[in-house]
Amino acid sequence: MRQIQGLAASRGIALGPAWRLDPPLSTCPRRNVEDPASEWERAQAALEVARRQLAELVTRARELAGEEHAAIFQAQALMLEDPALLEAARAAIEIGRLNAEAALVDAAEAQAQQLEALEDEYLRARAADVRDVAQRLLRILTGCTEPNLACGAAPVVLVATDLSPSELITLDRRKILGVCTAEGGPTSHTAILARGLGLPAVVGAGPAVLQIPDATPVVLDGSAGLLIVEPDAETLAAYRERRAMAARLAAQAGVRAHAPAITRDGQRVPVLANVGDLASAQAALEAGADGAGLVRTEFLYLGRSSLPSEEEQFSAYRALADLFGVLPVVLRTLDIGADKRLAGLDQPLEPNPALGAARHPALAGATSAAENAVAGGAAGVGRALAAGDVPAGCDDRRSARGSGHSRGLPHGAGGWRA
Amino acid sequence: MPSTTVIVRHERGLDARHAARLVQAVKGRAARVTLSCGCRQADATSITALLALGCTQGTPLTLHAEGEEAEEALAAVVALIASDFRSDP
Repeated sequence: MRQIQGLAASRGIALGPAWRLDPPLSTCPRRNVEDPASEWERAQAALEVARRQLAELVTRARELAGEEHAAIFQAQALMLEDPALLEAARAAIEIGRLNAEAALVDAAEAQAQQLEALEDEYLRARAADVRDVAQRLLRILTGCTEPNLACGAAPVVLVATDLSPSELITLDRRKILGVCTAEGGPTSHTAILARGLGLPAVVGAGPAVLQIPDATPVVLDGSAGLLIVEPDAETLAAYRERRAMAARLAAQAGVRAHAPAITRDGQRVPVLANVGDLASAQAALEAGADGAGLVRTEFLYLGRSSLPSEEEQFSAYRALADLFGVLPVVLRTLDIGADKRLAGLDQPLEPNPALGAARHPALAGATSAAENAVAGGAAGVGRALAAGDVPAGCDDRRSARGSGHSRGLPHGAGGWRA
Repeated sequence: MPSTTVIVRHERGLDARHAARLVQAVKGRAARVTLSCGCRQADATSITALLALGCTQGTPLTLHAEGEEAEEALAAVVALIASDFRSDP
């Protein structure tokens, strides 16, 4: 039994076999080949498979996340066809008599290093894209045609150097018990996403976790930021008990969730949910929320490359208002700009977006749809409010201007922003 | 051999997305287009080489083209850069 201390990123306990997300490129098989011509054919077949996979990812990313994200995979697809990469790999196979895996990985590594030598941080980060392409080719050539988990005995405790939020979200949730990364911090997007998914996670555990052989039994303690390798029977039993206890506590909390929250001195505290769409609103109601304290209406705008129509917004807000019935619902019309970019909108980049920017004409319908939905909407909605109209993410600007858009809100109610 | 110089005005310079557009504009044409930025050179069909130019906003890019469709390929690349990568390849 061995303990590896990392940082607590997402609470919960996971018991299961460790599984390395991707074998490191440095462990790529390396040998001399007898027949370079057929080895080059093998390389070309792998390139063709990778091309098809990336073309599919471009389409999927475009539908799910917009053009900006699709461009990442588009660039990766072109890296596959890069003549410099192909020539280097071909020479390594035909002249160096190297196997396809090593030839392609070496050629990609040379390109990655070329980018890493640059001063520009953005361009240096593209080295990771080239290595991602190499990883894909390696997986194809070594027979793991599906990324990540298809080769593993699922479900597993996933071990990785680092995990991007997009990797985490594309992984099959049913196959993962928990996540442990060598790098990264508890405030990374991956950690935040793991918490959102209810997935136990330990981050920043150091390179030692990468040495754990696949299928080694581990215990991941997300609350303590601890990974226990090959736990003894006693430890295993203790963690099983803790996990069962946590499940019992959650069940008990669920039963009492609908009771009002009252302090010992008799003050009733409304528990309002932060909801992002109809599904999370439903979940909040089921968990006993007394209303929606903040509806992130961005959900209508994100993950698409066109803007929602006023009618579409109206029916979405109306559905939320109907769902909550007499309970209060606060709509924040839009929190876009600064760190949140919108694919459907050609927003100018601002050097200091938190200071506010002129309202975008294309968003003019957002506030009125929200106001109509809550004001003229469901008869049962007693206290629905529309807060916001802040394309660049600035509440001070609104109160300073004394805008009429924040109808029904007390002056300076900027505190609703989350 | 036609050649010309353009200035990359886009604030992100020649990033992955723009480099991808350049590759697509040249690919399939009977021409070889070379871009030079300072002392670095790149073949327009190599996305990694284009990125490795490290071409940021305001950098002049010198373009050379050769081959049967040199004029057309060059015009396509110039149009793309001059329009801040908004024109269709």
